[in-house]
Amino acid sequence: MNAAAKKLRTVFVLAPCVFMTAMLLLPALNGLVLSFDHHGPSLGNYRILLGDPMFWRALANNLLVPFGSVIVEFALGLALALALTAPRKRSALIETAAILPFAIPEIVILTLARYIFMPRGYLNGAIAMTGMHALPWLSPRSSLAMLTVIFVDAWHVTPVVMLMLMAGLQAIPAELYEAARLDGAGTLATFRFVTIPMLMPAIVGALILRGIDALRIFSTVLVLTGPEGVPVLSTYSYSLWDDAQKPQEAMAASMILALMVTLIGVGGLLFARRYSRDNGALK
Amino acid sequence: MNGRAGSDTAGPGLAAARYVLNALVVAGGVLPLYILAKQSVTPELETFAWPPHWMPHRLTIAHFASVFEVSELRSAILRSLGVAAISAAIAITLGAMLAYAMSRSPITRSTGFSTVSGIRLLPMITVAIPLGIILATLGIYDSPSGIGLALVHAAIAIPTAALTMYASFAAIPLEIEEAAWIDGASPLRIFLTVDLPIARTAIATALILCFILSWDEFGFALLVQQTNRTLPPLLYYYTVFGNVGPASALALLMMIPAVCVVVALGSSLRGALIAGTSR
Amino acid sequence: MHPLTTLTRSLALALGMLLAGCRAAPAPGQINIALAVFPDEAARYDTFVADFESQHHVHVNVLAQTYPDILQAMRVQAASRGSLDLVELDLAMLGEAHGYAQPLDSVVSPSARALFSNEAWNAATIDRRLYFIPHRLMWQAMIYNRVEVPNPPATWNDLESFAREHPGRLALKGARYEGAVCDVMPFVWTAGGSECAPDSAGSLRALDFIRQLAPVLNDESAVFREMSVLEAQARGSVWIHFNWPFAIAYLHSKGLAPNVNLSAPIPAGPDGRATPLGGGYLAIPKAAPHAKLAAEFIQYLLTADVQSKLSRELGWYGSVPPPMGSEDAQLYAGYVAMRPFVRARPTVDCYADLSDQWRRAIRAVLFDDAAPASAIASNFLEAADRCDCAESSSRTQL
Repeated sequence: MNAAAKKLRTVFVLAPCVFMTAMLLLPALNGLVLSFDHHGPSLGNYRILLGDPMFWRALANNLLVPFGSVIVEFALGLALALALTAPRKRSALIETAAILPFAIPEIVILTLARYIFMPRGYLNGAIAMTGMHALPWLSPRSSLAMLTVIFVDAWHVTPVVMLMLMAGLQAIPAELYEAARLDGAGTLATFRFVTIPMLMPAIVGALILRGIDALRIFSTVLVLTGPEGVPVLSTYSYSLWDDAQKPQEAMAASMILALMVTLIGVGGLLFARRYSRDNGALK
Repeated sequence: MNGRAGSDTAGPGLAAARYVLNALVVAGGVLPLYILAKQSVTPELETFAWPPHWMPHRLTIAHFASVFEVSELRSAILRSLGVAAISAAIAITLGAMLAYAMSRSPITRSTGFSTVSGIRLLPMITVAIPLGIILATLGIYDSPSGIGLALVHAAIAIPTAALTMYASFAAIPLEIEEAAWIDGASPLRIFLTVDLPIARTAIATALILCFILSWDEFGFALLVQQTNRTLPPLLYYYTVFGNVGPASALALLMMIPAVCVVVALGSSLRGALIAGTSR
Repeated sequence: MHPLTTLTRSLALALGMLLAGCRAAPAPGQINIALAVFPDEAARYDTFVADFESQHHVHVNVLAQTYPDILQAMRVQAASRGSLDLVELDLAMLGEAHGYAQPLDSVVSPSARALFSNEAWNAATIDRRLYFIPHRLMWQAMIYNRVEVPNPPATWNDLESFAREHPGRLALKGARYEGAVCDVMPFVWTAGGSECAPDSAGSLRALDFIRQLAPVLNDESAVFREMSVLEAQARGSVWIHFNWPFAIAYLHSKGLAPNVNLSAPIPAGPDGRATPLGGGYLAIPKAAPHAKLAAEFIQYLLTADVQSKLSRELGWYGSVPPPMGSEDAQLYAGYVAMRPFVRARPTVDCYADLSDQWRRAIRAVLFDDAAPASAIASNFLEAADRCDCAESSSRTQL
């Protein structure tokens, strides 16, 4: 069995990996090479980027927006996971409604968000009814627009985080809660000393995965504010390619994004590995 | 019962908070659908009114009619279906192979896992721009059939497919395989006749997840199919070109596959979603 | 269900889809035409081509896209393969795009030439060969909300007063593409400047003027494109902006013109009035699968009857002016008034770069509060390296 099975396994692992590498990694490497092509091999494209104020804004936003988005989606996701796990009777209706934002295509959610948050959109319409002043939710380059983008991005992804955390919550043995209750711990203390520590591995894992995803934000910003409203590296690269028709500069910008994601992603994975090693020792 | 974060006799404050949260969740899920539905059946003059109309005053089927009359919309629907079907088929074939190999040996598991993790780090824009140039050289950039896009979607769906099916393959006892081996079956035959049937639920789930992943995908579709579009970039185009009525009708149509699946499969899908999205 | 069955069925489905997709590829009796039209314009164009379709027994497949994307697709097709038989390009792109197009000298007869002015044909002739035909000629006018602004501003001073009295109600297209240039060039021209001389006194004066407007512009101007500012006008959050004739057609189709919105001439500056010539020109791209059918379509278009039909059914004011006293005349009054003041932008290969530098300078002035002189200095190349465009922004007789 072993030799023949090993041959099968080799083929079975190589075919998908070669396919993925060919379709995704090779073009990226090709793009890396092309990004150094500015009338011949040079750093010219990168120098142009560094001289563009919008590039620096995109770079800063590409750290701020994902950071905010991850915080919001974890706060909401945890709250929802706790709320939906706790009651004795689980409601299929509530669970379905909680998952719907995940089932709906992202472009549909973003289209909706645009109609809700635009200057004469539904949110300002509702606010106007109460007599209060309308707010410029998507005003270009404003902090409010950044908050709106963070909220919409987080809202679409919250069900995924909720599901991940629910899986972690359900793995916590009931005896621990029983023991805490017998010791006289209230809800808050139970939460602090039982739930959160037991949930930490799931939280750390989910944080890294969602964090990497959040860094690659593209369609949220494109649909809500356009590339000039809340610039991030992916929309900046896209506008260089589509509006300005400068593919090499666009590739240079996208390489910087890839570098950022790689650094943060690898750093996160290393942290997670050390964290689980340390925690394993504690147990 | 496992996983209870607090006892049922917690104070009325907590119960009230939970009630509010549940209400917000339902509102957050239902209200957006209502807005889209309303915009798709009311004339645009009403949609542009200020303050907004919360209830429709006049109804019209013109927007849905335009979705089915304009030939570009019809071909976009077909193209989205085709790309989703082809990419899902490729993804679960290769994904099943990867998941099986990963479940049978630590070496293949770490190889597969490293490749999948590394691939996940690549941003869409980093891949899509040079990929467009490569596809153009091959002659399949912006093709009417969407085959270039289908290949990309297959590649990005393989991790999801593999991780959805991994647990099922890993759970198959080796004794069953060894029994078939003793009976004279080759490892490939064992995979096809013994393992696949046992893992069929996971395979079906993976198929659905990959289909929806392709159906929903926006970034690569926007960059690789410029004139022969699939539905997501077409919806984007309609929205930014100020056609609220047809855009809303199109958006509702786009939701049909995913909503059907989520509602119909319910809690069994939740487990699969967790496995597939936990990656 | 047995997984092998699932797999077989899904592969069969996939194969079926692939074949269906392949059939959706250009069949012998079909031509693909890519136009920069709105979705509802595309629908009307579909109807407009029905005559040609029945005469020639072909299907004309109308693809709606933006000009830059069409140029991109054309570029790719010239290098390898593609499915486009006819493409519409913006006037500003003709210099660059002629390398990807097939010459059309043999397609256009003298009677067809008579339909458009010499200037329109000159823009389409590069190196003494004809590569494009005018599809629709357009220029900008001012779109205003007649309910909120009963007396539209007629001069720079009027415009400034309006903007100060009603902050946030005047919008310019400020997104990082050509729209900013189209909006601001009229100010540059009517101050005596030109796009070829960004540091001339007239250019600096115009930039100074828009710098004064900057604080009271609609704050979404930084992201506005033709369509987003038009939607804002439709929703009433913007009362005055500058746009092409399709803007009035769009508003009319939503029931918002002429009852709420109308067109008016662009406010006059020290040197009179001006507006940029734009518009779609058709080309047959290199490697077009059905070049012969495409040529037949062009010949069909270039007759007086069909041009009137085009103008009537699509509402594309430009090629053919609307009859006096008609509803269209009221809608397009601003465009009719601007007709004598239309100026073409230079048809040079490096126009894209020149426009890019203008766009950056304009954005610096409008959104970063840069002084015009420093904005020009930091965003334009040295005079020696600059795009060499002749002082050819003369008035165009249309």
